[in-house]
Amino acid sequence: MKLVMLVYILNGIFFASILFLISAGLVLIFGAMNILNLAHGSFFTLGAYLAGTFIILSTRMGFPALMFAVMILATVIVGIVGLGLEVSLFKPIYERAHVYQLLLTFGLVLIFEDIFRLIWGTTSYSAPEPYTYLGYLTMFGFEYPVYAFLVMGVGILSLFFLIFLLRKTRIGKIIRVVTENRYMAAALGVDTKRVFSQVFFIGSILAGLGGSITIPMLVALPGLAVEMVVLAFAVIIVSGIKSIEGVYVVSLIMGLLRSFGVVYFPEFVLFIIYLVVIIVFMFRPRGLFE
Amino acid sequence: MIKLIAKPRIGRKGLAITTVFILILVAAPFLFPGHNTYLLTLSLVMALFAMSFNFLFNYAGLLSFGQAAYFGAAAWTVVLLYNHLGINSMLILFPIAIIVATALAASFGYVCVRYTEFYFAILTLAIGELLFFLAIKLRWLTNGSDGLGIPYLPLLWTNTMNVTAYYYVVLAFFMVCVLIAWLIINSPFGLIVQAIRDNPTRIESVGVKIRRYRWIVFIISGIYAGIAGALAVPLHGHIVPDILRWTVSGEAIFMCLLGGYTSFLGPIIGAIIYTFIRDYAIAKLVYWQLFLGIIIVTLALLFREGIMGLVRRKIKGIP
Repeated sequence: MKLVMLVYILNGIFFASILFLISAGLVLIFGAMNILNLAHGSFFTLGAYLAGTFIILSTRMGFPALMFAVMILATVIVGIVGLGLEVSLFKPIYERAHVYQLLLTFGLVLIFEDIFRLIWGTTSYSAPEPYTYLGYLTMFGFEYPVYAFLVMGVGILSLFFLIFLLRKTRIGKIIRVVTENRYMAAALGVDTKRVFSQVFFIGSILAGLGGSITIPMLVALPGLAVEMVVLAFAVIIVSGIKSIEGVYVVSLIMGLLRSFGVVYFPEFVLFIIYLVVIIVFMFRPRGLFE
Repeated sequence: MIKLIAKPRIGRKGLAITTVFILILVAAPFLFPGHNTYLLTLSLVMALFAMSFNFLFNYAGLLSFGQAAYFGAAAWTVVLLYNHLGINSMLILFPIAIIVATALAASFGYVCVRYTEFYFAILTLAIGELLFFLAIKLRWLTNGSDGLGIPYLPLLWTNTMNVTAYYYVVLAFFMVCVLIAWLIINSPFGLIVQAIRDNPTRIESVGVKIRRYRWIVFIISGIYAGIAGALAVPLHGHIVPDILRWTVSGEAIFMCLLGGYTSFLGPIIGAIIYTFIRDYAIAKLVYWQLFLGIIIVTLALLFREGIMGLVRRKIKGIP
């Protein structure tokens, strides 16, 4: 096996980590609240743009050490924005037919896209400082950016954090109960409205984290939001909403598909991914890991 | 089997309104000449597009984010046939375009209707994006993101530069399509489709094959989107891959929301208002999507039934 394969595998894990962060958030939200938040990709993009701005600001103002801290700040802001939207806009329509939720979030996607254009322009936006700061790691005769390892680490840590949250903590149990059957949970005394807000907050944080972490290595464009949400939903379809480990595994598969695809059949990467989704959809509509 | 023979009921008020409407439309180029005639032509085309969305949304209860796929496919067929094969006769271009759109709708629809709500929505969205992606990547065919154009097509004794002449062609298509839509919706078939929307479990227990009905609605929807797409080409002159994207589908959604998707006339009214507002606003507003998004959110939260919803509350008996 050629050594360059290792690079492709690493690239795959890198992309998988980003995909996991955004998909995990969507899975939580979709599973617990039965809402498909089309604007989830917008949260991701918002995190990327915010983090990018903060990084550029902090380096320009002479505090490069803050670079990493501000990414956390961007993530938290996205979480708060998400929570704000949930409380103000989503709450009134929970009891209504699902089409209104879809329409509402669709409207939000349009609004966000123009806000991105308004504030950050239409050309690609990037903030490579943290990436260049961490440099490269030389191994087996080639160099690989350390920052990519950081992203992969965050991905794995998030997985462990979410598993811990959902399995070991009280709030995790409540979330799982609400996911399973929210009416029964309500009948048993769970404040489902509050749980919804909490889940939405966590989901938005994950999306924002995904975006913030990504900006040093990927460029941000207003169209990123839709691209990411479609990919995230592809992951959810294939993995199902019952298992967070499943989401990670599927993210890995997608990530590897993409990283190898970009090398061997670059014109049709997206096509292949969609094809996989459609095939899984047709034979196992509940997902591979239900 | 599936009966399409209709026994529609249309009250006197509805009949009166429709007659007035038709009269205005027929006289329109003289009442609203020049650029407004062009806009009205575009409105009628977009009305057909909006109706295609509404077949699925209001009557079948399925929210499709990918109607632009069939709309765009028809438009692209026209420009591709012209640019690669030199065909410039509308009599050949339009039917082929509509057939292509219908074939696509039949194929994709077959997969899509197995799922409902979110899965259906995202699947339709993904199909649109997929076609958009193909249109951009196959540069040798489509000239990539630059798109392809057509010059003026011959039209009877003149060509499509003659806005008034083309308006009447579109109007003819429009009236026939609207009539057929009305017949379909009010036929036993249409009523069953609405019953499926209202209570799928109940209707299934009576022996109705839900999936098949939904599939047929999807195909009808595709046909209308295809007709709209083909008719739109001479109005735009130049077609880009973006015509396949969710943003274009979103316009159909918006037109139905604005006009009132619960009413038959709603999508048509919405299309007319939208087309005129857009023409005005694009000249003034740079952040058009922001404006659109805010209105969608407001409509979804507060004015679910749109303009026709408000109108119908005041005046009974309007379709």
